[in-house]
Amino acid sequence: MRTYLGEFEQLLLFALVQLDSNAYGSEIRRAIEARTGRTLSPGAIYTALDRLESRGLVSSSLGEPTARRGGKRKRYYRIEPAGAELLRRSHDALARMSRGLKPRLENL
Amino acid sequence: MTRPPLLARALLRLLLPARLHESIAGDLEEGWHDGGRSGPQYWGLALRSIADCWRGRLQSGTRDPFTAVRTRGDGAMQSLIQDVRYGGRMMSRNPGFTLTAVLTLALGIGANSAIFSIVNVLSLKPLPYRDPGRVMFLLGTNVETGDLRFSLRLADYLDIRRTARSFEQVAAYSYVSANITGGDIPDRVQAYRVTANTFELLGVAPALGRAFVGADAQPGRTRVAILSDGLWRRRFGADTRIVGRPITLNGAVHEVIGVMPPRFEFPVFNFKGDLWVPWAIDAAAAMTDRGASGSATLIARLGDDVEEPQAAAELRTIMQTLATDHPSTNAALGARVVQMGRLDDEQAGPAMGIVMATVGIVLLLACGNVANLLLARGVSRGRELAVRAAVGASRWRIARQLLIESLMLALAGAAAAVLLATLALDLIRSVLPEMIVTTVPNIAELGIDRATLAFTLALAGTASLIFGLLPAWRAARPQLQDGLKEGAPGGGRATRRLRTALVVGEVTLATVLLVSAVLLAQSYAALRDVNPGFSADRLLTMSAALPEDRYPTAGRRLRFFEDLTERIERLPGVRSAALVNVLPFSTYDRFTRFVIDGPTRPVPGKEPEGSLRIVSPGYFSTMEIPMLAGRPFDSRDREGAIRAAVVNRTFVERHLAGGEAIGRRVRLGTAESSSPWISIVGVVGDVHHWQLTQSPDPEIYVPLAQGPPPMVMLAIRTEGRPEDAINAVRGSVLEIDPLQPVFHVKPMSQLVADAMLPQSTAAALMVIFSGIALLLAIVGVYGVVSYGVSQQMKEFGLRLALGATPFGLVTLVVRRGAVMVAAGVVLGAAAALAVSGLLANMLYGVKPVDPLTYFAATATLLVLGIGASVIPAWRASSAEPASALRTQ
Repeated sequence: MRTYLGEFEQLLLFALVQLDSNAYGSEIRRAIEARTGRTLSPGAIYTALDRLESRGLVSSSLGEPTARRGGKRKRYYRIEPAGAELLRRSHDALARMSRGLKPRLENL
Repeated sequence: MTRPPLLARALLRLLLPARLHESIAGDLEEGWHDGGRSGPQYWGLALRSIADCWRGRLQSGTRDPFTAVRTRGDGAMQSLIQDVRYGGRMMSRNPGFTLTAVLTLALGIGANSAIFSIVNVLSLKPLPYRDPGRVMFLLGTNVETGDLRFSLRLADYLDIRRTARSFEQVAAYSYVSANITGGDIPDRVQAYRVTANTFELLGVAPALGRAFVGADAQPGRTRVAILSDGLWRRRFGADTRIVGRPITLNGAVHEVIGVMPPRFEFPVFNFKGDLWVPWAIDAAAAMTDRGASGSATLIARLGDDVEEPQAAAELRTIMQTLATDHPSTNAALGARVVQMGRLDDEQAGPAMGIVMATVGIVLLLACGNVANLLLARGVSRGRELAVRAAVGASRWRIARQLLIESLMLALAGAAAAVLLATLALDLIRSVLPEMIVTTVPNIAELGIDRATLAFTLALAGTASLIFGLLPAWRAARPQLQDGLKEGAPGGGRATRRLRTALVVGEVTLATVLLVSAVLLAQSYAALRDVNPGFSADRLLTMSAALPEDRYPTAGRRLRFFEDLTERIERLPGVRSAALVNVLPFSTYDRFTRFVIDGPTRPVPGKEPEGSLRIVSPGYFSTMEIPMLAGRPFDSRDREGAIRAAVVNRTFVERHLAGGEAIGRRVRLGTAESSSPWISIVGVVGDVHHWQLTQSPDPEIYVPLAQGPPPMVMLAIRTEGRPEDAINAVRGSVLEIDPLQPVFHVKPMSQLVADAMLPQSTAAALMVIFSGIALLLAIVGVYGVVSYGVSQQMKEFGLRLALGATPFGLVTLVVRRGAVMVAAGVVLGAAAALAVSGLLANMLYGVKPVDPLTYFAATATLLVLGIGASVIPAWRASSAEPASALRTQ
C-alpha cells in the first residue's frame, strides 16, 4: 500500500473537502478545472476516486437518478478520516518543503 | 428530452467498467446539457474518459490473467476485466496485426452496414404515418392479365367507400399540375387533390394550421391549400405566419390553411407532394358517367380487428358486383389490397436479396482472412499459451481469453465500419438521382440510425464468433510438450491444412462474386447498346403545363405551342424542336383503348389498349424516329381536316397482322364510344418508352393540332451540349408568357440513364463488392503462402545448401499457391454455375452460363493468386544456406 498521495489525488481530496456534501463528478471536475485551468475527463476523475476508495481514503454513496443525467444516478464522495490524515501529511510536507522559497522561485 | 449521440453512449457502455459507467455517463450527459449540446465536444470528453479509465486501470499493477489461477470468489466480472485488459495489451503490442485485422473487418462489416441502412430505408422503415402497417393501397388490376394499374375511377372510389365494411376510412387522391405564381419566377410544384379525410386516415396532423374538413371541398367556398414542409421552407422562407395568407395556384387565389410536419411524405411511390388541395367531387356526375369520372388512386386504413385477407376478399366481391352492374366500364376490372409500405417489395426483393448475399459473402471473406491471421498468430503464441496452461489456466479460460480478443477486434472493426459506412452513405446520398429523391419514401433519412447501429453491433458479435471460434478452439488444445520445446517449428500439420482450406474457401466465394459481377456488367453494357428507337444524343427535354384559367381553349393552347416551337427553333444552337404529350423515359405514359375498323368488332370492355402520343409535326424528325411507310404529320393535319394517325411497327404487327396499314381506320376509346374514325397515314419504328429491356407497346400517334393537351413535353435537338441551350429556351417561354414555368429540364441521355438505374446500380454494386472480395481473397492467398515461407526459411536454406536452385524454390512455393487458387477457382466456377440462375431475370443479352465470363473471372483470379505467391516465393529463394547450417 502506498503511503503517499499523487498531485492529482491531492487535488481531488481538497475538492471533496471544499464541496462537502455536494461532491460528485461534475462538481469536482468544475472545482478543479476552475482553480487549476486544467481540463479533465470524468473518466480520469472516477478512476482516481475509485482507486482512492479501494485504499479506504474516501467513501461513496449513490443519489437519485435524474432525467438530465439520462436516468443515471449521481455518485457522491466524501473523504474518510484516513484520507484526511494522508492529505494533511502530504500537504504539510509540501508546505514545509516550500516554506520561504516562493520569492526565490519567482526570481529563477 | 434530447440525448447525446447514441453511438458515443453505446461505446461508453461497452468500454467502461460497469461500476464506473453510470457515474461517468451521467456526468457526461449532464455536461452535455450544460454545455450547449455540442456533439463533437461530447464525443471528445467521452473518448477521453474511456482512455483515462483504461490507462488508470492498466497502470494499477494488474496480475496477468492466465497466471491468476481460477480466481474463486474474485467474481466473473473481475476475471472478465482482466481478460479485456490483457486483450487490450495484446492488441497494442502487435499494432501491425491489429491494424490489418481491424481494417479487414471494417471493410466486411462496413459493406453490410451500408447495405442494411439502404434496405432499412427502402423496405423496413415504417412510413411516416400513424400505425402505417394498416394503411393500404387499393390498386386496380386487370382480372384477365393480372396487370396492376395504379388507379381506379372516381366512381369506383365512391362505390367502395359506400359499401366496404373492412376499412375505417377510404380516401382518394390524384395528381394535378400546378404552377405557383406571384414570386420572381413562376414555379412548378407537385400538387395533389386529396379527399378531405386523407390526413385523418394517415393519422398525421399539420405542424401549423389545420387539416382539411369536409366543407373545404364544397364548391363556392374559399379555395384552400396545405403546404409541405419542404415547399414552405423553399418558397416561403419558413414563415410561421403563412397560415391564412393567399397564394396563387394556376392563376387562382388559394388560402394556406396548414403546413405539414418535416418528415411527412405523401403520396409515396409517386412524386412526393409539395402541396395538397381538397378534392371537390361531383358524386352525381361521376355515377352517371362512370367512364368519364376521372382516375383516382385509392388508399384505406384497415378497420379494427380486420386483417388484410378479409379486406381483400370483401374488395374482390365489391369489384365483381360492379363488373356485373357496369360491364362497359368495369368488365375486367379488379382491385387488390397492398400494404402501402410493401408496394415496392415485389420488384426490389430479388435484387436486394442478391446484394445482401453479396455483402454477406464479403464479410465471410473478411472473417476468413482474420481467422487466418489469428491461426498464424496462435502458432506464434503457442509457447506463451502452453506456459499458461502449464501453470494451471484451464482450457476454457484460454479459449475465453482468445474469444474476447476476437470480440475486441470485431468491435474495433465495427467502429471503423460505421465510419466507412457513414462516408459511403454520404457519397450515395449526394449522387442519388432526382427521380429517387422525389419518389422513394424515407430516402432523406438514409444514414446510420439506431437500427443500423444495432445491426452493426450484432454483426460484429457474430463475426467474432465466425473468425474467432476456430482459432480459439485450436489454440486451447493442450500442446504442452510441443509448445514448451525450444525452437519447435510451430503449427501442426492440421493447422496448416485448416488455413489452406480457409483460403480455398475464400477463393471459391470470390470466384462466385466475380462471375456475377462480370455477368451484370456485361448485361449493363448490352443494355446500353440497345437502340431506343430514337436518338438520345444532344436532345434537351422539358415540360410545360398550361393552366386552364389562362389557356381555356384548344386554340389558345395551340397558339402558345406553335409560337414556342417557332421561337425555340430560331435560337442559335438549336436544330429543331417538337412537342409531345409524353416523352419516352419521362416516366409518364398515356394509354387508350381503341377499335380497328373491320369486320370483327371487339367485345365491349375487352378492347385492345395502346399508348397514345399527341405530337407536333416535327416530332419524328426531331426525335429521329424512322418513318417506315406513309408520311409524317404536317401542316395539313389541322383542326377540321380529316383526322390522321401514325402507328408504330408493333401496332401493325399485333393488330393489323403485319399487313398494309396506310388507309386503315382506328377509333380511340371503347367500342361504344362515338369518337370519330381516324385514318392511318404513316408507320414509324418502335420506340422504347419505359425500359430498354421491355418490348415496345403498340403506339398511336395523333397530331397535336387536332387536340392540344394542357401539358406537353418539349424535345429540342441541339448543335452542342443540350445543357447549354437551357437558359435560352427558358427565355423564349417567358417571352411568350412571363407567368409560365417549365420543369423537368433534363437532357434525354439523363432520362435514359435513369431508366437503367436498377441495372447500372446492380452492376456498380457487384463490381465494387466483388472487387473487395477479390482483394481479400488475394490477400488471404498471400498471407498463407507468405507465412508458410517464413516458417520454412531454415528448411529452404538447407535445401539451397544441399544443391537446390533458387529457381527451384520459387517454383516450389508458387506451385503451392497455384494449387490453392486453382482448387478455389474450380470449386467457385462450379458454385457460380449452380447459383447464377438466380441472376437470370436481372440479366439482359447475356446468359448466366456465358463461357467467356467464366473464363475471364477464373483467369483473373488465377493470375492474381499466382502473382500473390511470387513475392513470398522470391523471399524463399533468398534464404541463407549458412544460417541453416549454423543453427542445425
